[in-house]
Amino acid sequence: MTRGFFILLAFQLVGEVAARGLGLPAPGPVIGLALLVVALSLHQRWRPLDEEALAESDLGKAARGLLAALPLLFVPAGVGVVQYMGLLREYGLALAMALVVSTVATLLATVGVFLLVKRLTGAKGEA
Amino acid sequence: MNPFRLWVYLQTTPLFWLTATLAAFLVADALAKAAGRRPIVNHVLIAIALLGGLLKLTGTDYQTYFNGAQFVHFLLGPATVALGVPIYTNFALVRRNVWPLAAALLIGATVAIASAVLVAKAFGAPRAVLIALAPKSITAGVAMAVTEALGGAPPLTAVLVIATGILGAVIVTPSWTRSASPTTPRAASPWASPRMASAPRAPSRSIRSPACSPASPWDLTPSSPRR
Repeated sequence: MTRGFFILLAFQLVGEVAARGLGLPAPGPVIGLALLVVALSLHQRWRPLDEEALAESDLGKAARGLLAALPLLFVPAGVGVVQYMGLLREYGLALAMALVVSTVATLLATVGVFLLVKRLTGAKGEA
Repeated sequence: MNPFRLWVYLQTTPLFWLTATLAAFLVADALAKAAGRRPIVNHVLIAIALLGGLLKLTGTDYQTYFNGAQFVHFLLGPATVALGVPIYTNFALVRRNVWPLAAALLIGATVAIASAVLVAKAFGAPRAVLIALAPKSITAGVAMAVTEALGGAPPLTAVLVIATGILGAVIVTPSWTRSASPTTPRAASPWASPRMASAPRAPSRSIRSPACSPASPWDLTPSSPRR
């Protein structure tokens, strides 16, 4: 568990340093995420790493534990909305309209494009 | 020790608001469970409302609250990195559909951002609100980081992401569960819905649920639409 948590923190640290040091537009944890996926793919090249082995590794356990608690982790930042109640009240209608229109449009566009391109490229296998 | 001094002590230690955060979450989760986990009864939103009410009731400012709650908040960073594990696990699925997914991600992300910002702008929302709104379709942890990088208000984004997730689930769930094959339990879950339009829900039940293209700087965590 300690080792798994260390790996996650180390990737976040590298991500933060890269984001700030190189002035990258993506947030540090997101760069850490991308680097972790790359590292796992590279690891796979010289030592096969099946799904089960990964899930049972220190990293897999730490990741599973943290992700199970993910909804809780949004709460402290979300409570910060108390500082913006004025804005929310004033632009509540604008935000509600934006959310509804955008969610419907995005769902249709995403599924539509996916199906269209899948048909065009004739990709095989289950989606 | 008189009650007032005790309260002053509790305000200065992180312990009180940290405990309150976990307590509010447990209460909210129990409520959501009692409501049959309908998407409209969102436990994160309820926990936020409970704590917001408690802050108001006790006249506590957000900074004091956050001094305690920051220990939970800090874990959001490593948890975001941890999303790399399920993404990697689902990579084979992503690779099989790489072009449809890449196209859907590109167009979907553009539509998500542009439509939300344009509609809110038409209703006269100021720049600060538009920034908080733009990343609303990304998973909450990443969305807040993006808003922060853009100089916006992450808490506003958190609430908008959750609202988007509820909307997405309400819109998609009926058609989704109908079209899902009974042999695929993942598809029967409302959270296995196309996550492009709304990606706030953590993979709380299954570590494998979010699949996402790491090529995109936006973590859009779509699980591939299934037909």
